[in-house]
Amino acid sequence: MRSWSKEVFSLNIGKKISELRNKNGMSQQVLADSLFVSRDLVSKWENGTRRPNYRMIEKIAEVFNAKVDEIVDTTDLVFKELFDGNLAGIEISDADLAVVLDRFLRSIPEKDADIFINRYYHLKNTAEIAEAYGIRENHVRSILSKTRAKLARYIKESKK
Amino acid sequence: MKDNQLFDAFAGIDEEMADRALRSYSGSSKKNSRNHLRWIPVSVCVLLIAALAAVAGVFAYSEAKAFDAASAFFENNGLNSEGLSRTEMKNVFFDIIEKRFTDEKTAEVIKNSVPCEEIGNAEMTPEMLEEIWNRYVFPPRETDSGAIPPELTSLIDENAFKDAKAFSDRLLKSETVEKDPETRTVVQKVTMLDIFGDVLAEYTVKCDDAYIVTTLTATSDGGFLFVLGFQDYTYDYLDQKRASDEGYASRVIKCDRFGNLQFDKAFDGLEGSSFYNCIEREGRYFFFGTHRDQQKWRDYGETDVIMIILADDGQEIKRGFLKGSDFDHLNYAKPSEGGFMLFVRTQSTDGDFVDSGKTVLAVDMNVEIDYDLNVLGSTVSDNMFRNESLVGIINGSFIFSNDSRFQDFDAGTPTAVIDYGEYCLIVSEYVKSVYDKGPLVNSIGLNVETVYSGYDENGNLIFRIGKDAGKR
Repeated sequence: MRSWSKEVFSLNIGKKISELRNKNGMSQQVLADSLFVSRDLVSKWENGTRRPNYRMIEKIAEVFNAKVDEIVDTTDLVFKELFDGNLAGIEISDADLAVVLDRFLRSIPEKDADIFINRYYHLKNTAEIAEAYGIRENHVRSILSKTRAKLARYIKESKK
Repeated sequence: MKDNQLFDAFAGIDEEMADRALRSYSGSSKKNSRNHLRWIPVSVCVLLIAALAAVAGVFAYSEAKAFDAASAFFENNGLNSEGLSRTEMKNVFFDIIEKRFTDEKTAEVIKNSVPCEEIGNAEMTPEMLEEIWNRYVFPPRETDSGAIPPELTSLIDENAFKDAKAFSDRLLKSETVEKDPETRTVVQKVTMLDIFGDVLAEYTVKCDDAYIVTTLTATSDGGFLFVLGFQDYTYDYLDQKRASDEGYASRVIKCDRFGNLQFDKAFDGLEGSSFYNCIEREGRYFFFGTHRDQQKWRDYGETDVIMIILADDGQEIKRGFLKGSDFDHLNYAKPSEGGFMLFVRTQSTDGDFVDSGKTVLAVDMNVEIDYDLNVLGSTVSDNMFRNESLVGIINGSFIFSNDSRFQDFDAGTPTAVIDYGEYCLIVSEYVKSVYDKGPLVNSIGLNVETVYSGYDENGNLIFRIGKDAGKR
């Protein structure tokens, strides 16, 4: 098992998609058509304002005949956090989770939500977030950990 | 929660929120970094200091909460905090619960607190510390002991009780035996065994991959019955449809003692229902679950408790609902004298309990019904047993995993109980350790074993043996 102590880079999925697309001499439009999505969305993935979900990442890898881990490093700490012990045993459908997550993010302080989203949507590393918000990295980890625990409680409560 | 489920859920969050977070990320950093403080006029600095003093109380509060959590964690796990500052305690706490094991104080705390021969003065890697920690928090159960009765030898060798449900004189197992991703179909198999692990009958059914066996029961005619219900997370990514968009009606399948099909019936008009319990009483089959109609699935709308009675030939006799609030959800049902007790969670706001419609979002209620599905009464429960499952039927009495007789049981969670006359067998699932589910996707999994424990009529343990049950 690897050591999880440091994350050197954030998960730059957009950059990887862009690199693979250019390597294969493919335009954004052709990639978009292959995936049945809009060119605008591909552009947003590449510039980092939107993030594809895992299924879509698998489909993108398939288009380029590449492995998923050429696009996203699934051994990264962010994946481990997203399957945090607090959340591991909870059974919830995708549809319900989407609704609950949306409500949860609106219910917590805006700064916590922004840090949470930057970590798990934009996949920034904790050092980058700490620098961006002018706080210590330990503080970021603490906010993330507590917010994950809150989310787990929130999901459990919503299921009752 | 499934692998990647939360990763994907985040990918689907509201775009405005994602943009706001990105703006706050790009906007707050470099402009607000500490290096810029030197350009702020002194008067503003004074105001800032005053403001900081005001918020210091808030910070102290959240710091205190983190420290409280860390202190409780140290106390609950018998960790030695001697010589540690508040900050160091918190760092060690987060280092362990986030499973990093990289803080040098963590190694020191574990060395000082966890009895383990391997530790000594050796340099501990994070991996070694994590392994020692796992062993510490998942202590070994009482070891195997006693002589295994010869009649149980083969069933224990084959671990026949793994994933099996016990019903007085029989066991039932359900499993998915084939998957065809092309046609999106699966083959579900239900096997009926006797209490010594010999197969009595089995039945397989090919169905859409949205279906799984949600509940099953052995029937008094020697046969068995099970319900195929849909799992909503089955998703067609090409057509962007969820299972609930398609509307899968639950199916009840009844087989005789030899595994021959007697009826296969879909619950028409109930395309969004999940049935968690089926109970045979008075020559009829009762089904209990939660219902949400198709449109409401799309809108994530309200749910109701649903109850259905079928005759022994599969004809529907009656159906009923418990409804009235946005959320009426069945936890489980069990027989009572003259009917059933339903354990329900409801968001009722119609004043039928204290604080209804005020501060309480949901409440647990015990609802008693008769064999005609008429409500006889309901009470608010302060002590709802959630996530409890039926583990056996002894002398007609349903035994649940929360039964007080399991209070001192020390080999994990009971999954099946069978009365063999001379002894009572308790089968349980015992977690030995956790593991990383890598390499592709990292998440936490469990290494488990099935433990067979035999007790005499005085409650004395007479034999015990564990069988590795692989990973969960």
